[in-house]
Amino acid sequence: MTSLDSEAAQTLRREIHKFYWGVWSELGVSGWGRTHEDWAIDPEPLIVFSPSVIASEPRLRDEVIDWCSDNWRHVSAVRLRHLLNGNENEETDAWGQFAATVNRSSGAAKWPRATTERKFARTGRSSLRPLSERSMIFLRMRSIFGLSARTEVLRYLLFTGERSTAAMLAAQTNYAKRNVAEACESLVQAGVLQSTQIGNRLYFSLVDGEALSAFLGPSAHIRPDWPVLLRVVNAVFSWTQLEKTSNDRVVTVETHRVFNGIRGDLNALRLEAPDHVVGSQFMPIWRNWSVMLMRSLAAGDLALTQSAAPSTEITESHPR
Amino acid sequence: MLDMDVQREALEEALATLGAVLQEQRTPYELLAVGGSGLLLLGLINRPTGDLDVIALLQRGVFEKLESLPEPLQVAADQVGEALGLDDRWLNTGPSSLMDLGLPRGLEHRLVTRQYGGLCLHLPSREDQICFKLHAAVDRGPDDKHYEDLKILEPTRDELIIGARWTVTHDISEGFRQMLKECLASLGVEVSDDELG
Repeated sequence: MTSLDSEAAQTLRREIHKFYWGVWSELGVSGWGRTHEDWAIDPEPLIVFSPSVIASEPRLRDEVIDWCSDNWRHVSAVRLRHLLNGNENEETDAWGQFAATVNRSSGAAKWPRATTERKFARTGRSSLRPLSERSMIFLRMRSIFGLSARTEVLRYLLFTGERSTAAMLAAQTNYAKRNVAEACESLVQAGVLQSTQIGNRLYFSLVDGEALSAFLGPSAHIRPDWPVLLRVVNAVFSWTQLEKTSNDRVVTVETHRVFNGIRGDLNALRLEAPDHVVGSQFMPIWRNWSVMLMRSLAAGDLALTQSAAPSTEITESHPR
Repeated sequence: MLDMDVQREALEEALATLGAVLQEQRTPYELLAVGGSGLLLLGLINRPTGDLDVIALLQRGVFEKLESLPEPLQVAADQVGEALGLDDRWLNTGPSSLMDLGLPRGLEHRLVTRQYGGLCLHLPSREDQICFKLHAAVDRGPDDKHYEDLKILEPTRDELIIGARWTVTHDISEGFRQMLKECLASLGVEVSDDELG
């Protein structure tokens, strides 16, 4: 048996595809059953991180393109661009083709870094799930406040309960700092936000989060930092591609490299990391850990993978 | 001998892993390695060594001094180091200044070559290692590991004199020459200035 173990690789690919199916189904992509009803879906990270994974799952790929072709108006091209800038691993041929296909199929979307579209026929099966559902809280907020930095600022401050500077908010919302600063200023003028000067920094927080929450209606309880979570998922997916590498030593080195690349993300997500022992002894630990994590993510069940943490849910991470 | 086997096994594993990565990336390298690890690989010493000193890259049949590792090699070495829990500088170009004033004459004909996938390692022979160790032992003094390594190599008088003649081409100062004589004397070899050339 090679250190990669093709059975483990197949299991991981299957579970990761199931995870993407489950999350996309919450947005309204035609799929089987529902596993992520209590997850608040953030569309732009999902769109940016999907192509490199769903390229090997043609039915999901086509349904996702179908959904995006119909619903591109709910998606921020600015956030897509910022997310691509910050996650260069996702700016692949798969992304370029995916964006080009959506742009062509929608007839109006102008998603960034598009290359050459693939042949695509609309399936017509996917639709937008009602925005009143818990998992659609982020899209519901956009319908109320508009597709802008303003909405993302409110979302971040509401669901983290923290105060943040414009720079911190820009990093977390994937909008330009100038746009975020303008949004914060107008929200302060409206009495929705308050600002506090600490040292030479200006921090923003909600004046009445409970009132905003009550106004918005039901929300999903699991609100991960989506770009961070999807970086972890896609890193594990990329590891399964090592199946083509025959040398066990190379697989071992690559496995450590993949793990080292996501250990900070695991910490940020408060996900339990595997014991990092040196050399090839890490291989069975990594296999077991990654299969367990992807199975629980695919099932929409995080209880199996969360480490002891102050919070009982994965929340967006940021400095206090 | 168990410690020596364990040490050598660990070093061989690191080099085999690095060679496999370089081969996978199709970025092969041919390097000239000196120092304790070179002696360990040749089975000439048994002290623990945490790093491998490489001083030159073989390009178009010529050894060229390595000021630093080429980027693909450095990246691969870092990845292997992380995977195997090695020191950050487990592969380094520390003593590459040895190349500045020339290697012992005929060294290239006495090299021992080891192939690890995409990594070809050239190791100086015992007599050339004596030259390097003698230079380092004089430079660092009798309390240093290099002096101990030199003693373990059990050099003959002729080998030490050949080594001494090479070292004085690298440091022409009178002070070095005096310390060289003292070092040789401590190894039981008395030499005249004429013998040092």
